[in-house]
Parts: sequence; C-alpha cells; structure tokens
Amino acid sequence: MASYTKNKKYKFPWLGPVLLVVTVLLFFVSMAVGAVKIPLGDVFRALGDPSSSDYIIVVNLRLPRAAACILVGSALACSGLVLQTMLNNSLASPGIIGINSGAGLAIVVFSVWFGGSLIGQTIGTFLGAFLSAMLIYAIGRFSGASRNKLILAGIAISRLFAALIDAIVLVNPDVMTDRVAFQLGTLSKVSLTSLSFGGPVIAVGLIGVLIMSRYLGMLTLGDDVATSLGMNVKLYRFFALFFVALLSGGAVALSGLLSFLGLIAPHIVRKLIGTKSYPRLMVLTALFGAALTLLCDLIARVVVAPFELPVGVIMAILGVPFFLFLIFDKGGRRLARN
Amino acid sequence: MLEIKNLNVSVNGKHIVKNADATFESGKITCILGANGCGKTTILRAIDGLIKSEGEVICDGKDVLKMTIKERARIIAFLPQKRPTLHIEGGLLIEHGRFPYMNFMKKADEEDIKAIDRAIELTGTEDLVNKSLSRMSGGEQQRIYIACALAQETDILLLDEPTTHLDLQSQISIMQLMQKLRDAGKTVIVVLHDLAQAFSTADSIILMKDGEIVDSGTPEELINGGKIKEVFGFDIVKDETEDALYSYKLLNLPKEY
Repeated sequence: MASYTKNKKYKFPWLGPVLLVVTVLLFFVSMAVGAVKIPLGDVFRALGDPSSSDYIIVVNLRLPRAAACILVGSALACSGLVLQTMLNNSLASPGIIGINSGAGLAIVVFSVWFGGSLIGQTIGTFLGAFLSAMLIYAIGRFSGASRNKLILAGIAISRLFAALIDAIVLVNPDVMTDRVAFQLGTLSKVSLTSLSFGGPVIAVGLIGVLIMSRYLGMLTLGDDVATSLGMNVKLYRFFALFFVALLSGGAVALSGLLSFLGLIAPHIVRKLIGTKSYPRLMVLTALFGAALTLLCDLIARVVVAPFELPVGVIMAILGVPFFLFLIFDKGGRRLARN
Repeated sequence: MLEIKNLNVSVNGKHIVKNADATFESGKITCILGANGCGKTTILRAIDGLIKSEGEVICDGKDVLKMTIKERARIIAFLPQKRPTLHIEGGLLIEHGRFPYMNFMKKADEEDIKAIDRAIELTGTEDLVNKSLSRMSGGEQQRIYIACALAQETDILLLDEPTTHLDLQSQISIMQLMQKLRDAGKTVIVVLHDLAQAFSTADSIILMKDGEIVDSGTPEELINGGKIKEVFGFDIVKDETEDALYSYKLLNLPKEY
C-alpha cells in the first residue's frame, strides 16, 4: 500500500524559495530606487555606516518603508487567508468585511481624542479591528446567518465605518492630512518610529497565524465536525480572530486601508498550489503578499516621480487583471497544471 | 457497546428527545428511523456531546458525556448530514481525522500516517486524495468525509443520513462500506430515510416518534411489532424477489399524503 502522506506531492515545490528570493531582491531594490537613486552597493554601505552620506535616506526613510511593505503585505495576505478559510468564503478579507475600516475608524477616533500619539493609535487600530471582527462574528453567531449573509453584513458595516471616518475627518480636518491616500492605502507615512509600534504587533500576529495554520482546516469543517474531532471551536475561533485583528490593526496603522491585498493574495496562491497543507499555504501567502506589496510600492514611487501614487492604486491596476484571469477557472487551471 | 440511559434533550423549552433508553452493540449496524423532526439527529448529537442533554451515555462502563472533548473524539466519530463543500484536497481533509491524537503542533507522526492510509484504503479514496473537494461528486465527497471519520479510529461511528442526496450507485457503495465497518467490529449508528434500505442493511432498528423511542429490535421484530404503520402510514415486508436490490419492500402506501 502506497502511503499517501509520505508521498504527498506539492504543486510548484520551488514557489517558496523563488518568492523568498524575489522578496529579498525587491527589498534591497526598493531601498535603492526613489527620488534619489542610490546604487545597491552604496545601499549596503549605508546600512552599516552611519557616517555615510546616504545613511539618513536609506536607514531613516527607505529601510522602514521596505520593511513595512513586507510586514503589511504579509499581514493583510495572511489575515485574508485566515478569514477566507474560517468563513469558507472566498469573498472574505479584512478589507471587505469591515475589519480594516473598523481599525481605520479607531485611528480617526483616537486621533481626535489623543492627538497623534502612536501608542494610542496602535492600540486603537487593534481594538477597532478586533471589535469589528467580533461584531461580524457575533452577527453570524446570534442571527444564524449564512456565510454569504455574513459577508453582506460585513460589507454594509464596512461602508458604515467608512462613512463615520468621512464624517469625523470632515468635522476635524486636522486629524488626517491626506484622507484619500489613507483610504486607498499608502506607505508614504511610514517612519522608524511608526514601524517600531506597528511592526511588533504584526510580527506577533504572523507568528500566531503560522502556529494556528495547522488548526485552520478544522475551523472550516463546521462546529459539529470540529468539536467531534476534539477541538474547542470557540476558543480557537477567538484566537484566530484575535490574530487577524493584530495583523489588520497593525497593517492599517502603517498603511491605511489597503483593502484589496487581503482578498487577492490568498486567492492567487491557493489557485496556484491548492490546499494540501495550511502551513505551506500560510507561508507562501505571506511571501506573496510581501513581494506584491514591495513591487507595487516600488512602482508607486517611480511611475510619476517625483510624485508618488498610493500603493493601493498600483495594486489594483496590477492585481485585478491577474486576479480575474485566475478566477475564471480556465486560466487558473492552465497555470496550476504540472 | 454503547448505551444511552434516560436521555433527554430540550432546546428553547421544547422537549426534543424524551427519556430515551437504548443499547447499540459492537459489530452491529443500528439504524434510527422516524419521520422528519422526530429527534433522530438530536439523539446522535447528544450521544457525541454536541448538544446539551440530561441522562447518561455509557461506553464500556464510562460516561461519555463526562469526558473531555478530546477523550470523546477518540471513542466516537460523527458525520453530520450537512457538510460544507470545501476548497481543500481530499487527503488533507482525511488528515483532520487524526486531530484528537496529535500534539500541539498537529504534525502527523508514523502512527497517524498509518491510520490515514488505512482509512484511504478502506474507503477506496486513493484517487481522490489530490482532488479538491469542490471538484468532487456528492458520493466522492461523502467517501472522503467517511474516510476522515475512519482515520479517527473510534469504536463508535455516528452517521447522519450518509446516503441522502446521493445517486443509487453511491448509496450502495456507502451501505457496503458500512457493512465492512460492522464486520471490522465497529458500532455503527446510522440515521437513514430510505426504509427499505434501512431494513436491508441494519442489524437492529430503533423507531422514533415525536422524540420518543416507540420500538426497537431486529428488522423482523420491528415488522412483528406493528409500529411501522403507526409511524409512517405504510407497511414494510420481506421481499422474496430474487436479486432484488433490497430484501424488504414497502406496501400499502397511502394514495395521498
């Protein structure tokens, strides 16, 4: 008898290493490219030498931004994967069901209350994301709504939060100087300081979802099956939402409402490699999200230089056609055939 | 062997299962029959502790309902009637059956791998392990879900309408699989809707009406008991036709329902 688990073959076994190399390359290229072009060699020199003339640009501006791309990209992609799996619905993502806009609303509210305090904003975004996630979950739980209805409810709540953000910002224009960029998603505001708050939050979330990835499949089976398989469903669902809130909250604090990534990244990776192992899916989704965000941010910075576009704009222009190609089955199958 | 003693379930003030007493023997298929809404599914869920109940569920002298969910998952496997169609490969779904045995990191060890392979072989799902559930037929999905329950390697299997919505071939293959499991010494407790199918497959039958067990015994005993007509409004008799699909057939069906 051939052992299935021992002979388990993964599609595109090289995808992980390739994505890793691409991510690392893009990380360094994004430190070299910008209003001032710095050759890669000088970037490396500047990273180790505070007296270098490029040190301030590289270490204070571009390094945090490139690191934020990786963190935000992987955070949104992974939280999208967790939500899509948990709700067994491919439409779910933190941007669509209102978790991101909940975090955004919290940023605006906390800014009105506490001014620009970064710690207040970081806690606020997490709380906003977590409360929105719990709200959506509670709606599903107590109304017995189907998973599709849950998404609809999420979309409605997302709009409500967006409207509240607009209302608060219109009344208090000082709390947000660039509302359009915030709502489209931008990494131009990232600094070493903001990264030192948002970064650890996302890092904890990433470790959390990676550990939880082995439990994710169970959450998709439905309460009865998961419980009869010995899982405390309520506890693990709470943990999953908690980590999603850390990821989305941290990402919104750094990049605004970059909503599309959480929807497309898990989709694209899943279409390519299928679902044979959740840990592998989680790692590749994180890498794909990171690489895509780095690439889009790079393009956003150079395409209309010396101005820059919000990264969310580039992500939509690049991601949507590829996404459409994949979701129409033929394209997805052609790519995934091996 | 599994025994339920004075089992009662109420949901929102409605008494759904009333004072149920029954014994389910090892190496036997016990079929629970009754009209829609009579409490069949609720009894299964109560046995697996998925719904709050009063009474006892005894397995080998221990009360199943007092165990932790992990302990219970090593004794009882449950396949509900409604199952989501997931975008995951068949093999991964089957692996989930090993959850109650895995440590915190949930990585399959040698023993898990063997159990998974046995479940795949028994259900004939070798060709389905790399196929996404969303691309499978109803019968194929059902076999994968049963394989997941088998990988759990429990003595007791609770199957809620495993043949509903399947084509006839798939139904027969599921019934044959249940017989294989019985022959392997498992306690199979199944809810079925097709009476002829149930009588032809079950070793023992429990008949329910309005939350109460009104009769139980072998198929012949049930026929002699005369309660079938009372519950369903028609009779069931032995079908002597040679090579008939089922060894029982329905008689005296009312002209109008």
